[in-house]
Amino acid sequence: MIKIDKLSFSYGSVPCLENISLCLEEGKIYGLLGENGVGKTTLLTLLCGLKKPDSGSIETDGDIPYRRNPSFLQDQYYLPEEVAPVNERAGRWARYTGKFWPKYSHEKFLQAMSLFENDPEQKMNAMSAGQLKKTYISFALACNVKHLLLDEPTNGLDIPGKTQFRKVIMSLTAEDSIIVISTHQVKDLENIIDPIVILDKRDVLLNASISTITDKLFFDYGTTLNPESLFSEQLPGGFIQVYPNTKGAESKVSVEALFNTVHAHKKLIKEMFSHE
Amino acid sequence: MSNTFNFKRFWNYFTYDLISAKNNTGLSLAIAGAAPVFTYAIYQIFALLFDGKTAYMPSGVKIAAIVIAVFISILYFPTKQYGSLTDKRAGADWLMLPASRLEKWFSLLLITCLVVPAFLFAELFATDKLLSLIFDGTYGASAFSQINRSVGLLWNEFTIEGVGKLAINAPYALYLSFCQNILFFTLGAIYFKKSKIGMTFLSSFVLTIALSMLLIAVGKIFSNFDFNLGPEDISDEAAMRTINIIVYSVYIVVFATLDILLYLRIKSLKH
Repeated sequence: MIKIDKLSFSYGSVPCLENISLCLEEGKIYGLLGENGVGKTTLLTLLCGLKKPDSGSIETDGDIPYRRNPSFLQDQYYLPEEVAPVNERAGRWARYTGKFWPKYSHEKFLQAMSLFENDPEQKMNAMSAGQLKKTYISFALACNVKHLLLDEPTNGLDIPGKTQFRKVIMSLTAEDSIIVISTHQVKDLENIIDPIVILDKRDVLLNASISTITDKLFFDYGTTLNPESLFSEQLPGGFIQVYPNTKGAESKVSVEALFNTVHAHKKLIKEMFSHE
Repeated sequence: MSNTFNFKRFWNYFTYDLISAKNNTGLSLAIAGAAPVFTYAIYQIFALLFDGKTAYMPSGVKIAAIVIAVFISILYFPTKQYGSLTDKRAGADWLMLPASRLEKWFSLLLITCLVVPAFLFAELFATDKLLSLIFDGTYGASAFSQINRSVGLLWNEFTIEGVGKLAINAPYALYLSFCQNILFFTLGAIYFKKSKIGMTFLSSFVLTIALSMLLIAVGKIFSNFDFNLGPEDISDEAAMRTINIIVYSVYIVVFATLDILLYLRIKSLKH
């Protein structure tokens, strides 16, 4: 379990995160959403130990990330948005780098590379940005870690690459792991992220599972506008509307519409989900 | 498994660091180590161009080639191998590798102070010796044997007037000096984010001036004291020993300070 308590962080005199509290549980793929500059990447770098919190605490299975203890790092992989090209063949690099993670499986790496249609014999510094990203994603999954933190993993991937990404995430991750995916590409990951965490500078606006969200909110893809709707957007052939689910009807979450609803009604949504 | 130091994990990290050093700087170091060959080839090309025949290469050119190769390696290796630690992408990868700070620091010391000089000097020595064997007429004796003949490679003796002879183990002193320089540039490489070599040069310039001024000030204070010591009060041996102790102490203090600063920098790195 990852426990974040009253976490604050600033870049010099510019505050980035203030008083954030959050609890992330095993066996879930968290979608970390937020506007530009709210501190999604900063939160991920704090979670993995690349940065030290100004105040508050982060505890990952009893360990403090910033200490960067090898026992902690062995059970975690952080994939940054931009990855570094290495002057080495992907397969060879993965084999000798994987030695650091006790549960690393080279077979799994090759399997993921194959699902991505990526060549493990290719030199990493000769790869395109997308191929390089796929190599790192394959490696991250092959490490078989408990805590997997992915920052904008689908950025730079082509359309088939995004489908392949969903496929590898669903088929190659352990059931007891905590996966946190920070993204702007909500449509790419709509079907795999659950719960959804929406971050604001001074608050966590929402941290709820898809089933809780659909219990509380109704996503209407109809053609007539509902006066009670909290958010509506015209689409070709109709509307997408979000309004309180008073009738207990079932609907499919549109993460983009949810995000806009939360941002338009921060206080109301917080109250609505505060008992969860 | 200890979070501070574990031999198996250290070995994993050390081999990882070695492979990465080989990939990043192996070819460049190999080229630097072959400096005598390139210098000899260029010298003979110019000799053929201007004199129409090959010429004997003076020992000064051979020694200069080796000194320049070592100097360039000291500047180049730290930035190329460890300079990326200040880069967000490569630095984050490095920090997230499951090895302790102590293991990473120790591996850095072993590579910069043992592996690099061993590889560089072995290659310089081998190419220099090989040239002297193959081209005896135009290359002559190897540069290393010439240095040994003229100044004594193992023990250098200096005569200090009124004190006696001071013997310094030249390779040891040169080795310590090599370590100091390469560690200083490694510190610069992981401290400065941009213009790493230039900024390190600038800092070394500022530090040298500051230390010289400090030494002058200390010297002035001591010159005001009357110790009442004549040549008969202190034996030549004791004076030699004292000077030797001071020389080596300075080397060791600088070496240790650089090691500590490197460790602290590694500890404080964040991205």
